[in-house]
Amino acid sequence: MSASANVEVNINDCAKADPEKLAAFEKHVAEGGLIEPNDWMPEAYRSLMLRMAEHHANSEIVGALPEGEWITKAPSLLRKLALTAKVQDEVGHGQMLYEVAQDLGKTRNAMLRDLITGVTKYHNCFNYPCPTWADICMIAWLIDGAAILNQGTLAHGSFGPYIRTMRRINMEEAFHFKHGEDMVLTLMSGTDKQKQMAQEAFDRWWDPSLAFFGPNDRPDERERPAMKWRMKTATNDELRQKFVNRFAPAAMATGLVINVCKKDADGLVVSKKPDPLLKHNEETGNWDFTQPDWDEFIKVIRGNGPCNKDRLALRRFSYEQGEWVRRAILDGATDAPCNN
Amino acid sequence: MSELNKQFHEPLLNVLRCVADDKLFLGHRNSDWTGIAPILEADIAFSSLAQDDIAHASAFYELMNTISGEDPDQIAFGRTADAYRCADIVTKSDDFNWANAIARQFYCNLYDYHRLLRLSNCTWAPLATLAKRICAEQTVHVDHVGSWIDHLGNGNDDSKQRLQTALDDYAPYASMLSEKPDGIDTLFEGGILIDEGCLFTQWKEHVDTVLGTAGMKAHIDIPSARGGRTGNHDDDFALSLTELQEVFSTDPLAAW
Repeated sequence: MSASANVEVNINDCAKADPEKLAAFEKHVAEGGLIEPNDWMPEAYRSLMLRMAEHHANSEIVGALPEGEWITKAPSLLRKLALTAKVQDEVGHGQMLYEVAQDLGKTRNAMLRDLITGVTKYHNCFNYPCPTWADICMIAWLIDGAAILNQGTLAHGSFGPYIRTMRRINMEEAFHFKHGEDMVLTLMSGTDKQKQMAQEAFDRWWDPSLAFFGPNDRPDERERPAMKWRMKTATNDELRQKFVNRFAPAAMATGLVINVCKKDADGLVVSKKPDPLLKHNEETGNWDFTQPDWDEFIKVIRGNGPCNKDRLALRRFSYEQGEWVRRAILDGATDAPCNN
Repeated sequence: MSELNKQFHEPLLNVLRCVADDKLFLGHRNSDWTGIAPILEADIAFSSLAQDDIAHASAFYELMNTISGEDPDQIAFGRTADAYRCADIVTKSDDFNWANAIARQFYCNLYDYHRLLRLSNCTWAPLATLAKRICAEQTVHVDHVGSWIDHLGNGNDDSKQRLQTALDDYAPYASMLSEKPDGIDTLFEGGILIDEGCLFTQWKEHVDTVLGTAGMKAHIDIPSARGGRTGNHDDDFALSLTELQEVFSTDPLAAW
């Protein structure tokens, strides 16, 4: 469902690389060439690409958790089937992305262990609560919509296995988005109670959707490794603006109001007012909007969000309850690539 | 719909309720594992099977709709507990123990396969056609769960013990799958369904054959009590039903 290239890498590692090889590598990437796992690459590129793919894979399988909890409560046969298929897709995306990361030198088991021990991270947006069915609708619409915008640009990156995986994932994300859009439209065409439920969920998910793309750009954004080596092809702020341009009018067309909200420690809205900055700017052609609460974003990313502990606890439970199965099937080889 | 004499409507609806409710709740419970199964590939496969079961249930509810006119979602989500006809093994909690989930899946998948084979010989064409189509998919379920019996039963000492314990724990519930649905004798006498002998025996032989290849055993007896097939359910079913209806029941007439 989500990818973020906001992982850091020490560009000075390149100082250790053979200058001729590095120059040839950078020329190849700048000309639009692809890098394959067995090609020469600077260690910093391998390290950054591994961390991107691992972070993305982690996000897919942690992202399956909040939606997975609502499969058994889905209110119709169609929604139940669609949600099971969607969450299954997310797990499948995780499986494909762990394979991409494995090719860069880390076993799946090591990645799963690092995830549950907090050594590595997953996307911040999954640390927010989903108290109602409408939250599931908003995740599929807004978060999958944001993921499509983000991953659409990542599919033009430089690492061959990752971009091929992105292209495949993006086709499935398009279905997820349609599924989300249909659920939101159904609620917004329904009873007053359903509309209220949708507005309240929208209030909870608008800010995390804006923050989905990561912090504001730095002045040297385009000189940083992720963009210089074409792992990312658009900046966070560019993607965020594209998202607002698309979703602000779409939300308003359904009758939803875009609010600036204050939330409590549980991630629930305690007060709100219509976004005072929201308007279509004729000069720029963009929609102006209020930035998400970046202080809250930092707090959540440091592990103090409403659901960080619950999400990790469930992943840890999943890992531990399955250990005996993996031991039985893999004959103890729980670190074998591709098999655990 | 094809012509079906009205006297057979309620007996056939009751048989279909048993099949569809088993499928719905088995898929419902198995979807608990979506996102947290022991291995990613197993997670993906188990989700597919859960989707199949829910889709099969949906197809049977739609078939019921052609007889009764009742909306499939209302049939699936809108009944009181005593109107559901599933055997309680399908909602028996697996406590997030993979061996329990496999044992439950094993008994149910094999039973469903043999039941669908028989429904494929129904003289009411719409049911025969549907059962034949679903039976083809059911063979995938039987093969898949058979491979898990093989992996765990022929795995290490720990997995063998865990699987045998789960098979033993679920055996009394498994036997209740073959509790006879009310009205089925009317369908046999009317020539709607063909009485092809004891379904329990056929299923039990298949169970024993698969388990035998993995050094496992099941102690299943013909059920003597009346339970899920008469709407008399246990606490685990009640929990599953509450969960199933949680959102739906906030406004049963709303579109979701």
